[in-house]
Amino acid sequence: MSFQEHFDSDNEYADDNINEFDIGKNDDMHNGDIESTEVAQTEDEYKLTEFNEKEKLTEAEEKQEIIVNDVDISTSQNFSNADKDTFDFKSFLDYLKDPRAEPILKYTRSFISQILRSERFYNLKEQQKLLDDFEKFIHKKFSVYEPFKSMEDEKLANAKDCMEKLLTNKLYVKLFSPLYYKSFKRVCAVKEMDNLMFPDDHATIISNDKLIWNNIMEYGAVISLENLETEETSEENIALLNKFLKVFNRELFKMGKFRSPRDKLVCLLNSCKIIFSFLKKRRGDTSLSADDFMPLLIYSILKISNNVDTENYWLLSSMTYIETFRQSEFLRGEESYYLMSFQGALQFILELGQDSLFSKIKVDDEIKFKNKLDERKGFLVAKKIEKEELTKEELYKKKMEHEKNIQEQKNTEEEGLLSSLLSVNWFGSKQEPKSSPSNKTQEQIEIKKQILDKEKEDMESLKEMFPQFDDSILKDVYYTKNKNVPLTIESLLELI
Amino acid sequence: MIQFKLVLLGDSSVGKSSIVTRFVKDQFDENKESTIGAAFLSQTIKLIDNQDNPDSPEEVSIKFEIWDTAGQERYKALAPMYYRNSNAAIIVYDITDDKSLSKAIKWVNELKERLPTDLDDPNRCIISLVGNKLDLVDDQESNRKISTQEARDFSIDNGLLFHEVSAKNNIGIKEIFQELGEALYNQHKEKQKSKSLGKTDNSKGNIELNRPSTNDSTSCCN
Repeated sequence: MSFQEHFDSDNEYADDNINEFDIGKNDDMHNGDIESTEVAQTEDEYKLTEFNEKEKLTEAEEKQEIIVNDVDISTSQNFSNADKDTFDFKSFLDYLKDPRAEPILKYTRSFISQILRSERFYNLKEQQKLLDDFEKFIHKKFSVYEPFKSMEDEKLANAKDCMEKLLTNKLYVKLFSPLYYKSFKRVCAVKEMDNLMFPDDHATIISNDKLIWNNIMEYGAVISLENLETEETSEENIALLNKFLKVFNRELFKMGKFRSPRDKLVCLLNSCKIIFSFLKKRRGDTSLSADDFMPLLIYSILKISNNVDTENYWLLSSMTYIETFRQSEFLRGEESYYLMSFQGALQFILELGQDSLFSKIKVDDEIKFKNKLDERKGFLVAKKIEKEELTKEELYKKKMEHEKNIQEQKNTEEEGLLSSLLSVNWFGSKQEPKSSPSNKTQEQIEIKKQILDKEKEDMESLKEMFPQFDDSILKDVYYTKNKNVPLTIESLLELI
Repeated sequence: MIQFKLVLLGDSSVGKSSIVTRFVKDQFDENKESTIGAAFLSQTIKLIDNQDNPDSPEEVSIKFEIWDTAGQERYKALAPMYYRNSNAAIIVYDITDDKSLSKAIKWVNELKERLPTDLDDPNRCIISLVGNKLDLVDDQESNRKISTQEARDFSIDNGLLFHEVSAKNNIGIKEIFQELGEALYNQHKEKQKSKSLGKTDNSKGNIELNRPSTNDSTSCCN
């Protein structure tokens, strides 16, 4: 499912994940609560869980539940992995289902459900250690249980890679900073606790990611290739580049949808490859270098802004996620290099918003550039307001619909009650049911009118109470408080 | 096979990339390691080790992973992300450009500040200073703006390896890497020895390449 969905488009996304991941809902046998154990897991603890689970985990269907259903997305378009033909994720899952590998499946299952159930919020370092430790542990188990035991090295390396994919897919909502924050918010809401702390490092990444995105949207539309000191490009070249950038953009978009660090990394490498393909096409194979690559990488990322309504790709979060959760034995020199280059490009974009803008980019006419930038910012603000209005309108419509339904339901109930009363009335005469289609519409209009009247009334009184506030603010608060006047007043008082 | 991370620093006009391209392309035909593009290249060289046993010399493979950096001044601030955990650095200047040596010296000083470079440090980053474009002064000595003596003196004073080369005519290129490889290999062996003698070594190893850490202040946005 994850591929098509915009993870930032609505709140339900994370909920979906939770449900899908709720693999352990039937067993309450886990005493090895992750909150009480320290970050480092020991073999004994796994053994304990294994023991507890033994009574529980016998049915084949339960085993089935652990197998992720959506992760078999083929990743590679440009960057293909030769091993894929012989050993893919699906065959790994088949190996895992082998009865002889049952302990491995149990350890894994237990680990995943412990983390998912945990309500403690870990920072990145702790999470990295948790996963690293478990991976080391399970790698040792590979050499104990068939069919992994007799695998040759290459295949075993693939199995380790797939294990990483399985774990990170399952735990994605707990590892990927923006989604982790969403689950944090949900926990806060459910528990009604204000004293919960979200880990600083995750929080910093999210806030920097937002800044980066903001800068991409603002500066991206204004900055040209010349500003970044690449070789001057003709119009013809820019037209060609734009075609490459479409593919580049698609890779970055995909990177946000994939869940495993490996798949994200493949998208990243693909995007870098696209830039090199452009350079090669333009200039032939003559000693291309970082001097050519880096400015173009920055430019390409900035040009995501071509599509103004794009949701945040969470690029920095993805980089951090790859860096943290890709096992070091799989992060080779070249991969590290391009990951680093991407981080460098994001760092550069992040710092665009700071004072020293013109030491970072080459601009002949600074005033003109600033004017263009201001114009762009204005445009984005207008766009944002427009969008907000639209959502507000939609929300309002939805609310009206909802209330109408409730009211109708109430009416029908009342009518039902009435008619049942009437049907046993003293006179024994049979009463016709009251509602006819025309009546109903009439009623609806009436109800709508009542609601509107009440709203109007409420607004009038709120206005009287808080003359210092703009109408729109009063309205906003009123709607967010579900038209509850006392609550509205309370929050308005806080605003003063 | 022993792997080393090597970072390439220098202004955009000094031809640092052509030095590496020359080295990578001329040595062996196989260049399969680089799958994405030319900003990251790797190359293997062979060394003969006859120190321990002169009668039966041992052949050793050294693999360089070469990290290129953008030379434009505006991207200079990103360099620390690249040279972090480097085992070696090649800093390139142009012998026909009188300003380029001072820029190279700035890089040397920055590395000395940020990386272990003391001669007795077992994990020191070995720096090679390279003056390029020797071909331009072959016929016309007046093109030379940086004297060999000046650059060599600076290198000796600062414990750097030093070469003057021509990437264009393939002069002196191989020697840069051969010398670096030997120095890195000797350092590696020393470390292995002290390790087997039971000395503790708590810092990064040569072969342990560049796992980026998440809490480095030079790393992106943390």
